[in-house]
Amino acid sequence: MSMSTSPRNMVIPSAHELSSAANAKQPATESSLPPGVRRDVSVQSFVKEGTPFPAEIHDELKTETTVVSVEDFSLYYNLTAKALHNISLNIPHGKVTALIGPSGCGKSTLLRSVNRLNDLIDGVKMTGNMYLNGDPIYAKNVDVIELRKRMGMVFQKSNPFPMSIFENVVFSLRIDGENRRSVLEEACERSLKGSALWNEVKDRLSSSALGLSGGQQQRLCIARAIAAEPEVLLMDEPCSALDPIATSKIEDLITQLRGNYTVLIVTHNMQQAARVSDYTAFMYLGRLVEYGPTSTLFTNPHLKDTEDYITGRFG
Amino acid sequence: MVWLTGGCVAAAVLMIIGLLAFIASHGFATFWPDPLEQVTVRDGTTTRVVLGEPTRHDVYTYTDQVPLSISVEADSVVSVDENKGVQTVRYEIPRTLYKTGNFDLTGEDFRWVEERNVIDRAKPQWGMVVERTAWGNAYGTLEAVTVDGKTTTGPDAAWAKFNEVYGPMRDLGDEVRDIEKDEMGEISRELDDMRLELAGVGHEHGQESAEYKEKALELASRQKELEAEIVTLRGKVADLRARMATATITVRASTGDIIPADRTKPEEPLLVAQVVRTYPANQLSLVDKMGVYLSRWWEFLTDEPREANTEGGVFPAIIGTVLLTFVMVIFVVPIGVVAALYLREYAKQGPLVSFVRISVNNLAGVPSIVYGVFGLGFFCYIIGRYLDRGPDEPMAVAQWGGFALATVAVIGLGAGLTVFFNIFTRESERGAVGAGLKVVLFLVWLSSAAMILGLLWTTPFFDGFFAARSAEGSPTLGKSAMIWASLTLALLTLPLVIVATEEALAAVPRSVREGSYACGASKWQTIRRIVLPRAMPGVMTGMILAIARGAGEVAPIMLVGAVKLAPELPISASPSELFGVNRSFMHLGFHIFDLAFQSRNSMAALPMAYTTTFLLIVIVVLLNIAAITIRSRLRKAYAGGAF
Repeated sequence: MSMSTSPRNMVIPSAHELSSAANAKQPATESSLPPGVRRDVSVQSFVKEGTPFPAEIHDELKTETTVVSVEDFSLYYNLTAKALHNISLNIPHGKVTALIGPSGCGKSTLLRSVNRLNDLIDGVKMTGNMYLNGDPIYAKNVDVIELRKRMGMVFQKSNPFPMSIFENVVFSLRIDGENRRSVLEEACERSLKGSALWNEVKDRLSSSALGLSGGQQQRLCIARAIAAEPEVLLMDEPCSALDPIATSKIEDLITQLRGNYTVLIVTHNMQQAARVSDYTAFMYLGRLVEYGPTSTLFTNPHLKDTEDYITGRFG
Repeated sequence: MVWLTGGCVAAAVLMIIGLLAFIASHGFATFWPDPLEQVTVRDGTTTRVVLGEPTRHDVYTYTDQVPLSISVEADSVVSVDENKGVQTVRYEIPRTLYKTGNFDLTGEDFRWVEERNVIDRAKPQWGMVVERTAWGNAYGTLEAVTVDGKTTTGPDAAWAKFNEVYGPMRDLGDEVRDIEKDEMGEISRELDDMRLELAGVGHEHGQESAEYKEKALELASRQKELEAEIVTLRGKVADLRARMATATITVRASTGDIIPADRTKPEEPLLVAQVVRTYPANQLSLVDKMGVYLSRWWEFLTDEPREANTEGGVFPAIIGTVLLTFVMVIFVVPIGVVAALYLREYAKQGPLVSFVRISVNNLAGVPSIVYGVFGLGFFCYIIGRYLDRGPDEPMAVAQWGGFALATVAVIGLGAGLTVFFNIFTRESERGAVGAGLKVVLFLVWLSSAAMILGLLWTTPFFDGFFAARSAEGSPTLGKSAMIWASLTLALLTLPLVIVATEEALAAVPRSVREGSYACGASKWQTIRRIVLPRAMPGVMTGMILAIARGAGEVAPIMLVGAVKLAPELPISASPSELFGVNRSFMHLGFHIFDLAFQSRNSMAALPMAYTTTFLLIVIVVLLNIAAITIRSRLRKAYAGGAF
């Protein structure tokens, strides 16, 4: 793991400083950089040279308790096309961590690697490892089913199952063999309250989940994901198919979940990342570029690539 | 282009509607009572009277050369040859086909009457249509009814008298039929069973053995009882017949003869009990006609056939068709769904699976008679025969024991490898098992399956369930039977179910499956709780296609079970009769073929063929509607209704 050893600097760069940094054509020396930006290293140049890119990871993360830790993780599609390059990062407990980056940078792939959903795709190969509260995720004798039961996942497009609202919510308990009505009802109510859907559906729990609106369906999926009290909640662009009102509801919900749940969210929308997350990781070209507290990353990024991305110069 | 495409659709729809309308109109018309006409026809120098239902009119044309001396109408002359002194004349002769019945008297059912020969045409008030239990319809005028020697003459009084005695007489006839068919049939079946039981003991111990003699003695007393019972029943039948003979109806045919009870005794009039239905055709009001029409439909739907299937009902054929289709569905849907599940969910998509898929699709195009031949050869003569009498060439016990040990060893190897490498545990779902090992395991399990089949095929310890019967030439399962016909049809319709299910499975979105996996569901839990319910409407579509195809197939079942006339329905509540699944059965499709091409007088049977066709279409449509209703309920359930 590559950790930045430089001290924190909270000076917010002015617009002029930002643009001058971005416009610098020559790889500038450290002294000529604006105050916020520490290193003017380009991922592109590392890609060209074929050397591993050392990610810029802020010091704040050192003090957090880790739930999921990713260690030198690489992933290949069709056994040869490398989609993730030696990624190492820790997801802190009880916080919302956002993964941002341009399309195709591997953020969804990384998220889906956490609960091993990529296993379902033929020809995927991984190296390195991940740990969920210290237990290895990628190891020979891991029971993937048991592992997935410890996590919840919400997808880009809401995917309610063809059953009643109630059965949708308690699905993960049912498949675990839980049939006691009282337990199921308790879990259902708790999860639906947790996903702020209870008041809207409490009178029609036995009607089909497919009759709900898009936003309600997505909140139902969140309820389903938190029903089994997961150790980490994975969200893969949960609002990208929703209208602004439904989006704001989901965002409020994520804010409420903070503290009780560890959330790892992939988003395309940088405003969203800024609004809901405590920490943000920026990924580019299959590499982790910079990872730090959201406020710092958006206002005072350490790397020029990060700054270019969040100011909209590419991606 | 719109016109071309739309026109093609219109043409196709018109053809289908036309066909259905044609069949329906003929099917509905069959049972409507037509009025009777009596025509006096010039026949050479004499005249002849024809009484019957006019069924068809057409114009018969022919050309002839006649001398110029004969004057003909100018517009019918085609050409004139002055040299030879002849003219070519084209005659157009309108004619009418009468259904005259009385086959026992005249040897014909129909007669053409040319209009130019008609001298007189009348509608006799007391012209009767008489449907009989034998020899088809009779047509004549009512003269008298005799009951217990007292004759009531004059049609009005006779008709009243007839209606008075008809009910009781028909009951007598039904009673005779019940005794002959059910009671005596049962006794003869039991006698047959006893004979076969004895033969079985003879097979086992030899005809000179003590067991054989003991059994023969034991059965002899029972046989005597049964034979005595038969004598009693025969006496009862003779009694009933004598009572039936006391009421006769005198109907005089247009030939001047009376309709006889027995062809060989032309002077004895028809018994009232021999009449199925009779009515004075020209006196019927619309309500009466409706009554006759409905009673004929009722008979058609609920009764057994008479007269080599050309008269009476098709009830056994309806039951046969519906049962056949049901049993077929029971076999084809689970097998098809499981096969599709493997192909779509478990098998690794690649050239091999594509090849299997193409082969399955091609199976749907194999001519159905090929399935019939296969079904006869495989199900009836191999499986059925094996179940009847065990292996044809059993191994010696020692040899077989060795074979069995080898089989156990192979199974042990397979099981050991499987357990050792944790093949069935969840970890193996993802590439933990090497490809080479998979191939080895597959071969081991395949050969153990083959060896188990081989063991069964050669076992010296199985003599079949019905060896004695089979040896006596009356196989129980090694013959055409309802169960084999159903299996053959299941094989025939399997591709439809597999293809429809596969498409439905492929249409289940990936995101829903992933959602289930992300909840920690195993592959099977995902399939059972998420994928299959979503695919259920598609499975139902496959089932509907299978029903539509299977219910109408005739060619294969002709070989494996359908018969012209089945003595019993292919269903029974008794396990000792194998619930009737080994019986032959009647089938509407085969019935149509039989009526149209195999009957004594296909012209007479044609209306029945139309009606049967119509009925078959209605049954197929009803079965489909039932399946479609279930499917739309399922769809609704997933689209927002309550569970």
